[in-house]
Amino acid sequence: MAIVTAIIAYGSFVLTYLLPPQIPPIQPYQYGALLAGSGWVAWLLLNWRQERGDPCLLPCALFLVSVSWLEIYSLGLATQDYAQGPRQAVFTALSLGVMVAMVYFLGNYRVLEEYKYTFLCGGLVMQILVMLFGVSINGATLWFRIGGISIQPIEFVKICLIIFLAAYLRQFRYWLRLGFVSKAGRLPRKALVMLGVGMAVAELLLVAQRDLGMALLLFGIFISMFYVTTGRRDIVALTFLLSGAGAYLCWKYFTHVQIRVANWLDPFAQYEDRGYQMCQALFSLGNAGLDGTGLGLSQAYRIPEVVNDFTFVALTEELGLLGIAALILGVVLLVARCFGVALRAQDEFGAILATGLASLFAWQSLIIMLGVTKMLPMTGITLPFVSAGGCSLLSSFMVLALVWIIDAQDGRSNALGGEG
Amino acid sequence: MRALKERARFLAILFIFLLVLPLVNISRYACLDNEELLRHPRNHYGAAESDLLGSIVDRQGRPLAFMKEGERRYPLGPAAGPLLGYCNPVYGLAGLEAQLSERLQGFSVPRSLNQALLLWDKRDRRGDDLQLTIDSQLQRRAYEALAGRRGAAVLLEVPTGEILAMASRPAYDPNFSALKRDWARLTRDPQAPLVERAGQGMYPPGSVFKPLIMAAALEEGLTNPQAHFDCQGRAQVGNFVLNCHDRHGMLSLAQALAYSCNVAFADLGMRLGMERIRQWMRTFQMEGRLSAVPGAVTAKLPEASNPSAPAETAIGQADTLVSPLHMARLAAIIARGGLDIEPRLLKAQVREGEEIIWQPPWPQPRRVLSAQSAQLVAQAMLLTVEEGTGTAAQVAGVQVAGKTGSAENPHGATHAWFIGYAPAQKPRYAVAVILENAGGGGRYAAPCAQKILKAALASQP
Repeated sequence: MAIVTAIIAYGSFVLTYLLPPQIPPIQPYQYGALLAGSGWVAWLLLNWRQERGDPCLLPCALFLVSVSWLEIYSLGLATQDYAQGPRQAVFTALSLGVMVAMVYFLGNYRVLEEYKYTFLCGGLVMQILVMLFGVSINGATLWFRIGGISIQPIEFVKICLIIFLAAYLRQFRYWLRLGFVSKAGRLPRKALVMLGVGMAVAELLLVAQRDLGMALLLFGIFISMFYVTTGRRDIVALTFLLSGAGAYLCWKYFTHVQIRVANWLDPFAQYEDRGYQMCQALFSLGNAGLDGTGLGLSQAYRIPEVVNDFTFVALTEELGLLGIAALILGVVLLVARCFGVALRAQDEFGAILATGLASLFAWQSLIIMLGVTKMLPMTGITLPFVSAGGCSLLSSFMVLALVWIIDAQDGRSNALGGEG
Repeated sequence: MRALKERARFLAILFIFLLVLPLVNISRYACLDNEELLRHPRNHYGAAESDLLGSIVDRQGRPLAFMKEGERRYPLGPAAGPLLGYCNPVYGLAGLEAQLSERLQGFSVPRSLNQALLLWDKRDRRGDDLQLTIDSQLQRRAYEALAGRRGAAVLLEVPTGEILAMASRPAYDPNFSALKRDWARLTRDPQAPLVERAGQGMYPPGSVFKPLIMAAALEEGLTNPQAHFDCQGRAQVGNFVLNCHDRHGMLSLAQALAYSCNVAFADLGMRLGMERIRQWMRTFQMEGRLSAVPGAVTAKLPEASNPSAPAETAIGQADTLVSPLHMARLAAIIARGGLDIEPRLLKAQVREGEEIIWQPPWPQPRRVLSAQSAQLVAQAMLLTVEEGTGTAAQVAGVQVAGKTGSAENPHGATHAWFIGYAPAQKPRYAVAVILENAGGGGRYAAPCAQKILKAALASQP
C-alpha cells in the first residue's frame, strides 16, 4: 500500500513536467518533491516510533492528497493562480508535520475525555468569535482573516465537538440508552433532553449562519455516534422525523435555503447567476465520459470556485467514470479503516471517538460528492484530503492523527499484546 | 461493548454502500445520458472541442466557418456574422453555430447499437460538415448592398426555394479576435448588432403586404382585373380616416398595386375582413417554423378587432409583423405562378468529407394560389417596376417585377421595403430588402434590391 502510494506521489511530480511550461518562476517538480518527500518522512517517522497504528491510514490519505494536488496544481495554472499548487504542497507538508507532532506529543488520548467541556467551550468560543469578528465571503461569515490567510474555524470546531460528543455519550451512555420512558427518575431523561436541545440549537445556528453543509455534517455525525453508542433506533427515527420537520421549516423561512433547493432542482433556470456554477459543473461532468480527458486536460476551470467546492468534478472530468470510481474506492478504504480502528478499540471512549471521526470523513465526503453531482443541494464543504484549502487539510490530518493514536495506544498494540 | 461494535460495523457497511452513491449520477452525466448536456446551447465545451468540430460550407463547398489552429475562422467576417453566429470557448455559441452544434459535433448518429461504442470514441471523431444553400459571393454582395444602413436582405432561388443570401446589418465579425475587441460595444449597442434580422427580425410589412391582399381578393372573387378604384387622397372607414400618399384619381386594379394606392387596398381589405386576411396569411405559410431554416421566426398574425382593422391590415400597418424571409417567400410564390416551396438554408450534412448522411426532406411544391390570380399579381408587380413606385429597381436588359413598401413604425422614419423577382418572364431570383427607418421603399430599398438582383443575375452560369 505504501509503495503504491509512493509511486503515485512520485508520479505526480514527474507528471508536472508534462504540464504546460508557461510560468518560469515556479518549478512544479520542487513542490511535487516536497509533497512526496513529506509524505515519506511522515510515514517513516510514524513507523520509527514503533507505533502500531493502522498502516493503511496514511497511505490512503496520501493517495487522495497527491492525486488531487495534481488537479489543484493544473487548475491553478488554468485560472492563473500560479501560487495555488505550491501553496497546497506547503500546506500538505505542514499538516503532515502537525500530524506527526500530535502522534509524538499527545501522550495518552484518554486525557481528552477529561477535558470535554473545555473542548465544548473552546469550540463555542471560536464559533462566536467568528460570528462577531469574521469576514464574510458570499454572504456567510465563516472566516477569520489573519495576515492574508483565511482561517475557517469550523474545521476545528467540528473536531472539538466530536471529542465532546464522544465523552458526553460515554459518560451518559447508560442513561441515554434508557430513552424517554424510564423508572429511574428524571435525571436520565434530562441527559437526553440536554443533548437534543443542544444539538437543535447548534443546527439552527449553523443554518442561520448559512453554513448548510456543516449543519448537515454535524447532524450526520451526531446521529451516527448516538446510534452506535445507544442503539436506540426509535430515538434515531424520531430524530430523523423532527429534523425533517425542522428542515422543512428552514426551507420555508430562510430564503437562502430555498435558493439552494431551487438551484438543485433546476440549475438551468437560473443559469445567469446562481445556477451558473452548477451548470458548468454538469457540463464538466458531461465531458468526462468513461475514461476522462486525462490529467490537466479538462476545462473544469470554467466552474467558479472549482478548487474549493468542485475539485471532485474536475477530477471526474479528467479521470472519467473509471478513474473517479478508483478515487471513491480510496475514500471508502479510508473510511473503512477508520471504522476498523473503532472496532479494535479496547476502550469505549476510543471506540465512540473513532466512530465519530470515521463518520466525519464518511459524511463529509458523502455530502459534498452528492452535492456536486446534483443528488443533493450543493453545500460548500470540502472533500477531505481532496479539496484545496489549508484549514481543511490540516483538520483532516488532525483527525487522521487522532484515529492513529487511538489505534496505536488502544487498539492494535493491546489487541496484539493481549491476544498474541 | 460488543453490541456497540456490532452497531459500528453495521454503520461502516452502510457507509461503504452510501459512498458509492455519487457514482449513480456521475455515470449518468458522464457516460449514459450526457448527450443532452453536451448539446446544451449554454455548453461552451462544444465550442472548445477544437479541431474536431465540423465546418460550415456554402453551396459550392467554399468554407463559411472552419477550425484552424484551435480557433474557429469565418472567412466572410461580418458579411455572414449574424447568420452564422460564433463559436468560441469564451463567448460560447450563437446563431447557426448554436443551432447546428449537434450536427457539427457529429452526435446525431442513430441511437441504437452505436450508443455503446460511442462511449469510447465519441471525443475522437471529427464532427460532420454542414453545407448551406448560401452562396458566399452573393452573401457578400447582399451585405455590401446594405452598406451604411440598418436592415436585412434575403435572396431566394425561385425554382428551388433555396436561400442564396441572408444579410443583416449592423453586423459583427464573428472571428474570435474581433469579437474580443468589440464585445463590450456589441452587447451594449442599442442597434442590436448581435440580432440576425433577415430570418428573425419582425417588422410591420407596410405596402409589400399588398400583393398578398390582391391575390386573396382575386381568389375570393371580391374583385377582378376589370375593377377600378377612385382615389381622392383619403378614405373614411367608419370614423377612421385613412390617407393615401397621393390623389391617384381613377385606377385599375393593377395600377392600384403599381402606385401602391392605400384607398384601393383599404377597400379590398374591408371586403376581405380580418378572418379571411388571417386565413390567407396562413395559406401563404407565414405562420409556423421552417424545418430547414433554423431560428427563423413565425409571423405575428393581426389580432386587432376594431372596425377599421381590415383596412389598416390590408395596407400592412396595424399589428401584423413579418420577417424579410416571409416577404421573400411571398415574392417567390408570385414568381412561381402560385406554387409555394418552403425556403431552405440547410443543404446537407456531410461526414468525412464524402458521405451525405442527412438532407432536409425535399420540399414538395404546393399550389397556394391559382395560376390566373398569380399571373395578375405578377403583371401588376411588373408594372410597379416599369412605371410605378419601384422604377429604381430596374435592371438593364432584364425585366424585374416588384413591390415597394414604406412601413410606418413607432421608431421614427418609415421602414423602406422592397420585394421582387427577376427575370419577370422566367423568374430565377426573388429578393426582399428592408432598411430600418430609412424612408420610402421606392427611393431607398428598391435601389438596394436592384444591386442584389443585378449581382445574382450576373453570377448565373
